[in-house]
Amino acid sequence: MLSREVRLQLARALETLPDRQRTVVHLRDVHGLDAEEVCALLDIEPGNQRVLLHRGRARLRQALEDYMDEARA
Amino acid sequence: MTRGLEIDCDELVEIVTDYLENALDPDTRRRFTEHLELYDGCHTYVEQMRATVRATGALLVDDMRPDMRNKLLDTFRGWKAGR
Repeated sequence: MLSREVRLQLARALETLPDRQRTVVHLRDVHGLDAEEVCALLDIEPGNQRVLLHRGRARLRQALEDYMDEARA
Repeated sequence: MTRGLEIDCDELVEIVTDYLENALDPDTRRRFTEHLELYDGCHTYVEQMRATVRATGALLVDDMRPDMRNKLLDTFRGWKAGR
């Protein structure tokens, strides 16, 4: 169970991702589609899908780390 | 990736999603897991990525306001139309 604050930070970070990263992260990690489904839906190659997913997830991880650091400070 | 060479911490960060997606070739995957056993910081990084994915999955669709949902759908339409 996530705290309300963490959810809010994560949702904000998700909304500020570049469009293509946000779309892929939304479909994969929020909606739970698998990689093949996302590639078919967006008409992109598997490698491209992974790059967008990676960049998006990395930014969300950083946002959570920043938030945790601030919360500890 | 060159066969037989160890991967360093920067490389690990770059390929963590390929690792989580089971997209690494067996040799690279083996070196990835060997690296994790040696570097606590990288182990933590991978766990943070897993936790981030889980947390994102907890942002349920039902929590999305209708306007956010519409924005997402518009993004799709715009993306496909703009390519």
